[in-house]
Amino acid sequence: MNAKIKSVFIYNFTRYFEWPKNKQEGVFTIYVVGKNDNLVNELKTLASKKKVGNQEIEIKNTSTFDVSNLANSQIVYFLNDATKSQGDGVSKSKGKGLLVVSESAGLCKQGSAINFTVVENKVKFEYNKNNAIKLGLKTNDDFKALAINIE
Amino acid sequence: MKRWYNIVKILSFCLFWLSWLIVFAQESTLVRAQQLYQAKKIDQAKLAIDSAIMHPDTKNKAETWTIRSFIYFDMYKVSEKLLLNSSLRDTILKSLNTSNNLNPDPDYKANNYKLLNSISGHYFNIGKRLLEDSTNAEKSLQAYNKFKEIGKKTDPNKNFKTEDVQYHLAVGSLFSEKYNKNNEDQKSFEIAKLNLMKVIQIDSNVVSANSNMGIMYFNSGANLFMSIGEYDITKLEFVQDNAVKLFKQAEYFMLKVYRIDNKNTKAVEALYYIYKALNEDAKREMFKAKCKELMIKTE
Repeated sequence: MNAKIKSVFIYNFTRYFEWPKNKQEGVFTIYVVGKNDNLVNELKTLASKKKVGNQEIEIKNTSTFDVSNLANSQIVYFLNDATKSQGDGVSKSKGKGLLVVSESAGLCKQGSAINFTVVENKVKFEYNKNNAIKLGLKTNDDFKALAINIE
Repeated sequence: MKRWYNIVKILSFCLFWLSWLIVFAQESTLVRAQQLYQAKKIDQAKLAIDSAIMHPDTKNKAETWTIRSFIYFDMYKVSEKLLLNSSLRDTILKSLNTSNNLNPDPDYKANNYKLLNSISGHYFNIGKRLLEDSTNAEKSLQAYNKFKEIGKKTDPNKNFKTEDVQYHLAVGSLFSEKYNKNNEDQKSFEIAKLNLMKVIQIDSNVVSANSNMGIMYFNSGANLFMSIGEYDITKLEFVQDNAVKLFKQAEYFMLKVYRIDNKNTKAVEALYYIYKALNEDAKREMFKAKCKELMIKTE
């Protein structure tokens, strides 16, 4: 259930950010770091049905962080068990047009643009607009209204 | 003159004998009906007793109506015992009612009650049998209510708690199973809920009633998530709100089962998935460990 919700969230995130021109061509890659088969499967199902603009969606998943996957990705999602790599991922993504998503407490203060959290049994997400800008993304102010904002 | 007197005397004597014979004939019809019944000549017994209930000298005797009930019961049990609507059963019940209203002696009264109890039991069985097909649920309830109505005639103080639990649990389980197979079948959900809650109101510790309620609520919540499809992000909050409410209900019933029996595998497994859906990691891990202890496979 959690995986389903998160996959729908992630797909919806693509509607609220603008990636640099060079990332608006080819395949739209969501790179998942860590192990969560349910989430990866949900994302793959979604990818088989949906597009981002005209771009086909591709899901990449590795259990440990592989920096070589960043160059061609639009979203990198650090799962709970890959939290240790998040700092490295953030530093290597700055200005490159990569939306960094994570799911451990406090990571929006450590460079993630979006961090999933649980509030009253519900999946919500924290948003740090400044981090999104630093990562090279154009943002949409409507998005702030949907999130728990972290400045 | 004397001759006329003799004629009148003979005529009076004849009249007396004629009327005695008529009464005796009716009495003997009743006796004959009884004898035919005992001899298992039920068709002839029926004709005799139907004649006896028409006659003023026997129609007001309780035994006439009791005997009629027994004769009709013999026919009924051969061909109509399993039917919800039976004209033979209606005749038996009317006859027993008439007999009871005519102050039967204790033996006849006891026999009347014996027969009422049998018929009441038949209605219970009909109600249960009709549940083999869920489309008969309303008819089944009719039969069950008849079982209670007739049962009350023999014991007005009977509370039927045991039977109510048994019956409503059977209905609730049937429809919860139906709902769990097709989560869009809201009607089954409502019928199951109504019946299972009746059971819980009578006895809050009935494990299978609580367990079925828990599973239904969990499936409802899960179904809500699965139907998300391509919802707009703004609708996810609403979906999650409703799903959390359903999972909390599931948790309430499953915890009850778990508190009654902390080795109940259904409850332990369900609680693991419930806490997973509720994003309560500590509790999820606790029940994951319990699943392991009880050799329950989780994903």
